[in-house]
Amino acid sequence: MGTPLSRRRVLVAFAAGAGALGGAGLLSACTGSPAPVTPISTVPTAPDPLLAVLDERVGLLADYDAAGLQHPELLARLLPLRKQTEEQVAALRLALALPRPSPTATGSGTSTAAPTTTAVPVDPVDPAVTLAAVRTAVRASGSTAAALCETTTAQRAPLVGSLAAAAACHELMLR
Amino acid sequence: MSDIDALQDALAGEHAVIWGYGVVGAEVTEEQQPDVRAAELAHRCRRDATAELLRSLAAVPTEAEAYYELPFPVTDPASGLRLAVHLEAGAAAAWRFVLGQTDDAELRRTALEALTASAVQATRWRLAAGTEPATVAFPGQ
Repeated sequence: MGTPLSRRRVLVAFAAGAGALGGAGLLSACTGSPAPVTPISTVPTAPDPLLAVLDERVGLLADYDAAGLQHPELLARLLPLRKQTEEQVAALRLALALPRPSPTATGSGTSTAAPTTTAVPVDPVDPAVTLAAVRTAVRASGSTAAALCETTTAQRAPLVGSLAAAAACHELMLR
Repeated sequence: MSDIDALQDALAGEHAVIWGYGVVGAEVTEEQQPDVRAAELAHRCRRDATAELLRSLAAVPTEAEAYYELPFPVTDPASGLRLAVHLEAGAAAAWRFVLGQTDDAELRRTALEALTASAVQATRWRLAAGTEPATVAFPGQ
């Protein structure tokens, strides 16, 4: 099961090689008129839409943490869902070829969002209110994945679709 | 593999699931019968819609087998529920596979609906069986 990581390394190495070729001007050498080589990194591109899926799942981790802090009696229900969400975040990071997060970091993702942006109300009186807020956030993450599933590449569609289905299941567990 | 081949596999999976629910229904408790019937009906609808879709793509829909091998002995309500989970997980896997075989948004939507329905039903069966956790991180994988 080491293939995803090693494949990622191969892809990274390949990208680095391609960049080196362009930088050395080898590609333009045979045309006779050296064209300016634009480094790939400076070409403005739209953000990868998979990042939105990742950000929402990372946000869910914070939601689960906040909900568990406020209502420790919910932890038994929330922890399995949080653990699976963590696995999803790891898979998304692999799909996006993002580096592994530092193990000392509290969050698992790229998001630096403060806890104030989480879906969980600051001072809920009722655990049901907290659960409903998490459920809403889970449903939103499922909708994002479901929408992307229709337009993403064939390679990514199974993962993205699986994440949409997982959100529907997690929603059921938060009822 | 084309989207039609993947759809044929998904249809073959639906045939197997419908057959399997016959076995499940024979073993689970009386109070679980309505849930089994509802789940089985959902797959009959899915089977018919998939066959229709294949016909619309000028393909001849795969027929059901006469008999299917059970993945483990099913002898009581507990193993009946385990089979139900197994059936839904198998259907989810087949439909997840369809997602990677097409760029057609409409077909992706159809496959995702089926994947999600089976993933949710598998979760319901795990809850009924007392299996923990009742969810998986990557349904259909």
